[in-house]
Amino acid sequence: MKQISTKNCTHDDLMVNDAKIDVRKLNVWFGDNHVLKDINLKIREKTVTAIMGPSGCGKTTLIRSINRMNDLINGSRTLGEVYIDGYNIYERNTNVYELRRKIGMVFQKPNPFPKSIYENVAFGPKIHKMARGKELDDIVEKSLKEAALWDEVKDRLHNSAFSLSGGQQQRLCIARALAVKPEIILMDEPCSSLDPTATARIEALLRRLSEKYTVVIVTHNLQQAARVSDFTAFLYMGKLVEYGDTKRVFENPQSELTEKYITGEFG
Amino acid sequence: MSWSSLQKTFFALILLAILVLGVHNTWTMSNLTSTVYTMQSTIDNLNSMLGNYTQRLEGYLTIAGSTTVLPIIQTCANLFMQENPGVVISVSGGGSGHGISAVSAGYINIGMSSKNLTTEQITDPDPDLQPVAIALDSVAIIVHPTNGFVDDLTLEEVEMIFNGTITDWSHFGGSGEIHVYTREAGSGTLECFEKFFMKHSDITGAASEKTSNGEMKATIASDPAGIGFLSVGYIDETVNPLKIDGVEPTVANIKTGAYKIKRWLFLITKGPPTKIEQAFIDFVLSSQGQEIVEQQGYLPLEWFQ
Amino acid sequence: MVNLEGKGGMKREGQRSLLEKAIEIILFVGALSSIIIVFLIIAYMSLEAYPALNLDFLLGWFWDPKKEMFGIFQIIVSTLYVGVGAILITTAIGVPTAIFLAEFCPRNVRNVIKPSIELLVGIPTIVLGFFGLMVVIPFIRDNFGGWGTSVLAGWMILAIMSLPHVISISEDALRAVPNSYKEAALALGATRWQTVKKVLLPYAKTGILASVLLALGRVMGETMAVTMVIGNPRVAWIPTSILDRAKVLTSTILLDWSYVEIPSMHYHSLFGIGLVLFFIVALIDVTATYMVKRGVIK
Repeated sequence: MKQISTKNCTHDDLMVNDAKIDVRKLNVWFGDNHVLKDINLKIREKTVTAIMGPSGCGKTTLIRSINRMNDLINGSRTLGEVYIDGYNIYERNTNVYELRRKIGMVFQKPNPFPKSIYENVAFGPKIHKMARGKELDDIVEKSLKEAALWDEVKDRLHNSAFSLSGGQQQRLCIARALAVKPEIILMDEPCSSLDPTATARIEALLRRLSEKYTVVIVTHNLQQAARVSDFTAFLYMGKLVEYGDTKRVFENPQSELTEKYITGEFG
Repeated sequence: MSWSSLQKTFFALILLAILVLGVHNTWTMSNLTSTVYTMQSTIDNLNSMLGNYTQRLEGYLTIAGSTTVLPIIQTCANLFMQENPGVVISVSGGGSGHGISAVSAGYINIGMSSKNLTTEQITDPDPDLQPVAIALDSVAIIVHPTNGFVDDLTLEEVEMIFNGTITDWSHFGGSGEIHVYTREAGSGTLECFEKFFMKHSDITGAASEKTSNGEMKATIASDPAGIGFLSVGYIDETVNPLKIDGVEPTVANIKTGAYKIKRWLFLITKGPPTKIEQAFIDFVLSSQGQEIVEQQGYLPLEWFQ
Repeated sequence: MVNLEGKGGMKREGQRSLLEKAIEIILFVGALSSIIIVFLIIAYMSLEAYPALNLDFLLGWFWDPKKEMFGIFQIIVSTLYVGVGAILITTAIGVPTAIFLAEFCPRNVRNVIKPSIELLVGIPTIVLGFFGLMVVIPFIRDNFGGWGTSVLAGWMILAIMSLPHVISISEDALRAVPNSYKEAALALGATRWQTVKKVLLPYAKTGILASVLLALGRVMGETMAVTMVIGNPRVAWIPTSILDRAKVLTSTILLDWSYVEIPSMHYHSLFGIGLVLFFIVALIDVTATYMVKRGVIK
């Protein structure tokens, strides 16, 4: 396969100035494994950006760099900068806990705490001492409504989170993330363990969420990326191959690699 | 298939042989145990016959009981084993009570006791037990070497300390609580102590129980506020023995009777001693054994005969 | 047409299933024998203890064999006082240690601490008792007063004995928490400690509690080491302070067994003590097992 230069395929006609998340020269190693190579990416505020690519290309590592969850992995090393609202989060004095409050994360497999539905959503606000009593109840209700789950659980808030179906649990995880009033929401293949109906509900939710939050979603489902996202980034073997307006990327990919991926020749 | 008469006879003979052997073997089996015992006693008899000529003893002795008697018997046993290489003796403590109950139950060959079976009260005496006096001993009241508050006590004062009436060293010009130590209920040393010192009352319930002379000595040696009682054979520079009514508990004073506390020490067998048990007891009573008694700090029998 | 006879045929199969059956029976007998042994021991203890079992024994205030008094109530209370106190110390030290080892400890430090804790298990309890006698007793007497032999000394020795078990099992319970919960909490902005407090500990709670209860059972049955450091007043009482001496169920048996007359009420009472001890420990162990089961179902 011809080695494609990635220099011209990034930041097409995008803004340079009002990036919510500005990734510059990001390199990540796990031990000797060079997982992310010189990633440069600007993500716009209040959009849905999809990150796609074949398995093992570094998608998950990329979004975990944004909320510094990679720090928790033994043997990981990060070089480069990630600016959020103009501030480099890899600076030495960064308050990681406040950072992670501002950035919500939803995981591949729904992982509600073994607690009640109420306690799951209330967890975040409690640890950040954001509210108590009635105020807390209000936050829980608001978050569950935003996650389109309220009507289904309002009468059984104190039941265990495990009494919910898979799709409901994932929406609960979204509500949990929303409860701490984040600005960015990262989603790592949130629908991959859900059935089509549940998936559709969450995809509908994403549109609404992007009105208030900046959403970055990792997916290996091309159709999903095409459906829900405003912008799409294509990662291959740790390198950012292409990034741009979703419609443009899918209809008129500038890189041969991208085209091959979209048409399903590999991945 | 029909058999010829020859085959039939042959078969019948074999059956008969099996029957006879079977019955014989069964009979032999039931007598096997008694045969073994007969063999055992035959060997024993042969041994003793040989022994009369060769003086060679072989066997195993277990001895346990009074920790007062223990040092004497340990030393005697070592010497005895040197002189009789075919004999193995195991000696352990456990207290007079243990010695008596263990020899009565047949767990050991010889029990050591500082309790006198005939005069002391034992609720259910075993009539088969045969004690042999081997030495004499006394009991002293001991305190920590740095204890300068007491040096000489009367019998009454000892009783009042041990029954909890006097609780503080301030009574003697010192300070601090008196730590009273006593022995486990089966101890012969305890019995002797109570007989001579606790004539009107019981030892206080607050006294800490120790389980051997050795433990008592180590405890008093490490507790400056402590007071206890000890067989005189155990006294060394780590503890301070007190005078009683002005008399020091020395071997000389015990011999003359100036120090009034005195008791016999015994070796006890169940029934008449076996050959090897008798040999050992004879050894302890011999001049060699009695010399060991004196060396260990006890009183040889002849001083009181 | 399959040949059913000869090599690999049905005849051979018959032999194999016979062997299977035989092995099954042998294994069953093995399992049964352990039940039978336990049953026999309990039956023997109960029979020997029977003449002594009455309310005067269990609720009686004084234990004084010389006066034919066999009341063990104060001894039972003392045993609980010593045992529970020791376990509280063990929990207070052990659970934080387990948390540290599971969540906060760098690898190279862990490789030093863990083997040391495991070594602690290997120390024979009588050696610990001896250490208590030679080091702990004088230390307490010189620095805190009293006789030295005391409830406190018992607590210290028993805590040392049970610490490795509580640390080890609690650490395992904490490590067993699924990683996904930890990640979810951390991604919400929780600190490490908040994650431990609000996610790990609630999840590992039953496992930790079970380990503490099991340690309590073990500590109640400890004989030699406790007898050497606890004081053993001639007539037992309920200790009034941690510097006070005490007599516990196990030390009572140890001090009396060697000279007790067989048979006698004293003898039966000693077995009674053994039976009471057995029931206390059995109750504790059953509770622990029940808690673990319930935790799993939850």
